[in-house]
Amino acid sequence: MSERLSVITGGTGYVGLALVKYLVQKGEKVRLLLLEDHKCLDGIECEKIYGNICNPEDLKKAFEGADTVYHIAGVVDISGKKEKLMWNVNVYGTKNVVECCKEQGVKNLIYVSSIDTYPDKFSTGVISERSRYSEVGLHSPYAITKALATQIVLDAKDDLKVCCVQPTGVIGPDDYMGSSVGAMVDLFIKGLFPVSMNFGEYNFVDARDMAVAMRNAVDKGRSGECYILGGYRVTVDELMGYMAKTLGKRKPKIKISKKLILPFVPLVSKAMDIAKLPPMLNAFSLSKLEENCNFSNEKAKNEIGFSPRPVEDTIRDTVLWHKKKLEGGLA
Amino acid sequence: MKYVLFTGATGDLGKCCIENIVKLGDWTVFAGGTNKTRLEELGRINNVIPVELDVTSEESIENVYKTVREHTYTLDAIVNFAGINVFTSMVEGDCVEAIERSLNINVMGMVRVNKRFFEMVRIGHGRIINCSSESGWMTPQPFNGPYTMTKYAVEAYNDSLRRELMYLNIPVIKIQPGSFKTQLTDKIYRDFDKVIETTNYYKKVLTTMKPMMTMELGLDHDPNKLAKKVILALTSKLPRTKYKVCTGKLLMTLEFLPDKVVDIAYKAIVR
Repeated sequence: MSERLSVITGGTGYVGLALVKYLVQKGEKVRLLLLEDHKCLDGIECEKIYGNICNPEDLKKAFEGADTVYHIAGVVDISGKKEKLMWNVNVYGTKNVVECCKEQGVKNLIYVSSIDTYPDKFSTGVISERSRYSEVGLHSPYAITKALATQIVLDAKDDLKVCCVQPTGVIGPDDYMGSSVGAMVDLFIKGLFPVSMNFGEYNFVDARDMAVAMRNAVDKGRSGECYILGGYRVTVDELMGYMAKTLGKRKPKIKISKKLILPFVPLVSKAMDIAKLPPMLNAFSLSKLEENCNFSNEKAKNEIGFSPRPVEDTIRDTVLWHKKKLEGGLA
Repeated sequence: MKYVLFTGATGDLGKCCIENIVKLGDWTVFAGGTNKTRLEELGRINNVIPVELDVTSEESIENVYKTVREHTYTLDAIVNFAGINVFTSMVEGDCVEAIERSLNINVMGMVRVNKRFFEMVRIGHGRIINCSSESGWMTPQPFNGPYTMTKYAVEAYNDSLRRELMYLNIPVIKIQPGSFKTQLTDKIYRDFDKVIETTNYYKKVLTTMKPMMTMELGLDHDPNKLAKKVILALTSKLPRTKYKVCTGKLLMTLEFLPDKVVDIAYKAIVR
């Protein structure tokens, strides 16, 4: 049992790295398909193959002899500049992965989809899994590519066991690639984020909890099913509170309203662009904070043993990791 | 590679347009039509994927949708060229059937195709091009009722679609060609002879009208001119809302006259 080989695409990202660490710690054989090596993988015992999921030849090499493929690699871009890349990687890359899995006789394929594939932005009820995913009702190119890719994976359910997991906002330590939330945490630690907001809420999930659920999906998941991995709903103000508590700082007293921010959004997003920061605040991220984030994680809890840890723990670990990074402790 | 779905590809004008589009190099055309031999011919052109498409049948459209989805998830354009022309009286013969059929192909066909493929155009940041006609905005001629009705409807459909899809940033463009010598005009001549044979009232009218109609339809416009405008509509960064091609000059003059005067002119011809 322990001899079975797991292949991970996108192993250096948030989710990927958490999964690699979890599997290696469990003593499983892990092979990574990487674009290039990254220091975050130093000291982790795994096989590395370099290649691109857009190239079927690379996939063939990577998937040879694999029992399970975790397909995590994807492109997220909310600036609208990398639409073509998103199509190539998220849609056509995933198509390659599915086809190569069939070809190589891979038994299980776990795909990391996204919560953005749900067009229920303005609904008020609880959002739970659907049976089909399509571009209908979706606006951002990211959501569209992820929805199409999810359906591509689900369509292969008769050829091999396929499960999709759909995380909400992923946070956690080990943010080597520089996420938007991570950049915000950095600013907060530096004391450059002196205000809070009196609106906005999002659902956050810990990357490490995701890793456990994804591993469980291999044994317990049903083929052709999606599982929403949603943690807890946290308001922006609560998030700031948790961060402040970890650092022993005081929570920003000033809370600004949406009306106050809105006129500055284009300016701020442009400034961040120039400063080469990940896009934290733009029209897209702002609208995200107002969408319905009432996702049900019942199915994942019941079927694949998903158990999200308290959000306070996640935020504490995240902030401490970023603090260590800023102090040079990770170099 | 860019993808375009082209209906009415087996017509003379459709074929000419497709040949020109393919010449651009970076376009792949899904050529939809009903004429099987023509489809085979089209299939021999590079970057043309022939698909059997009957715009009056939801099932046929669904089959084409499946074929297109095997090649691409997005479309850069839909070009609606499918259309028929019936020359008939509006009170005699099988005119009701003729009008229903015309509306079903020329208008409802367009509606069906655009509805089915809309999502592919939306996510591909594409555009929709509808072929109207000079009959769509000119004052109607006698005995050309069904065609004029459909093209007026196409104009209204196109404009409401444009003003709806502009909220989603999808350009909707109409092409208004004049008359071209195609199998469409050949059919008009055939219809004409049939009507003259069967009519109870219009023998004299139609016989005097024939030379004039021949003059208008016989104008040998180069279909490449139309293809040029279609390509402009396809590729222009800021496309116009409409493109007119080879508008009939004689008919155009009627536009400047009051309705009563035009009526008198049409009546005077027969005397």
